[in-house]
Amino acid sequence: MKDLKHYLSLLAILSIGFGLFWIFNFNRQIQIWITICLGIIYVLWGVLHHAIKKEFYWRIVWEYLLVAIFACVIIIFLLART
Amino acid sequence: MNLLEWARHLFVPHHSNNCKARILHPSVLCLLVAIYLFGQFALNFYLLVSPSVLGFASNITPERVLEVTNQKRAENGLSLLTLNSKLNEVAQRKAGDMFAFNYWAHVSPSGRSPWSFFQEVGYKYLYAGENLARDFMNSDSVVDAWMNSPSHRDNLLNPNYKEIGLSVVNGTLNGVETTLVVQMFGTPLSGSVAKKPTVLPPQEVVAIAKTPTPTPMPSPATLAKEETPVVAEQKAPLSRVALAQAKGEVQSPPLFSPFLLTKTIAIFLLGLILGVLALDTILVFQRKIVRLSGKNVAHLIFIGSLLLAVILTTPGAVL
Repeated sequence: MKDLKHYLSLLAILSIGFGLFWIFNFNRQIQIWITICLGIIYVLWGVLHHAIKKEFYWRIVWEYLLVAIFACVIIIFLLART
Repeated sequence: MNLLEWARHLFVPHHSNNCKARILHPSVLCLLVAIYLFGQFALNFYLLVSPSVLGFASNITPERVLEVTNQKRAENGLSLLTLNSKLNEVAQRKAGDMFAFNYWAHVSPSGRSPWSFFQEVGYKYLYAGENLARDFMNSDSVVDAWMNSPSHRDNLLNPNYKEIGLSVVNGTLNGVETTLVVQMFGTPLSGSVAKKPTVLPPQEVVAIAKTPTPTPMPSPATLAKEETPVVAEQKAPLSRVALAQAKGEVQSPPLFSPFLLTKTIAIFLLGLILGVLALDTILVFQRKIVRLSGKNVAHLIFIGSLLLAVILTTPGAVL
């Protein structure tokens, strides 16, 4: 897989985020902030990845943004339900 | 377009959807987010107009919370906390205030701090702290959650505390039946600390040590000095469960929990997108489709991680 290093870096970031999410279990405010941070980092990862690959298009940025918003909104509203 | 074609258009990359499952298109993702948000607001509205229909059944007892709390302290070589009736009253008033004014916080929306309740009951303290919890299934899980939260753990294992007060109250908060656990810690100013280490109540959250002297401490507690607590006399709106208990009736579990409903929907939506992404990835690879798009593998990793987080999220919160 040619982009293995990139994906491994993403996996590492998400693993750290997941670990923090688990550590702060039941601490909803912190969990919500962790989720928001992960969403932002994910979009930045996408931008950086495609910029490095010389495939940067706003349409692609929009796609990463939407995927992040989609997942984050779902989890944030769940956390807000306590 | 028949049903099969429509399903293919929605879930499988095809020339009809520009070689990308329609559900993965930005417009459809936006639509899904909008539907989810609408559903959440509709649920909130339903909770407002039909309170106590939905809720959360728990089996928490102050005795057990106290027992486990002191167990944790003993394991860490700390003295056991003594149950104090005034602190119990403080905890009871705090829980009543949260139900009466419909909030879930250390400081009420009107700016009332926990320490005002100490003043109300005449408990003069050298150190004081408050831990809150809600929506847990049983006493052990409440204390476990506190122990897993660094700030609450510090409170629970604070060697300065000598006494404890506890309150476990069922009521309706934001239209949802819930069980609030309030744990108040204190060390009396007089030094007349009870000598017998009774196995008593639990503790939780925000540890704020404060001296009652005019020395300002960077904690919400200092604000309490100037406040005259007005609240607390109001009764908390009794939940269906609490009313049943008061009447000596056997309590029935709530119809369903908003949390579990939201969690089910969240798992379904994330799982659906994850599945379609996986199928899309395989078909694009097999058919050697070239298209301008984000990386499916990245989306899979991201959504998969959050799906895992959703699955592992259980009801209950500490503050």
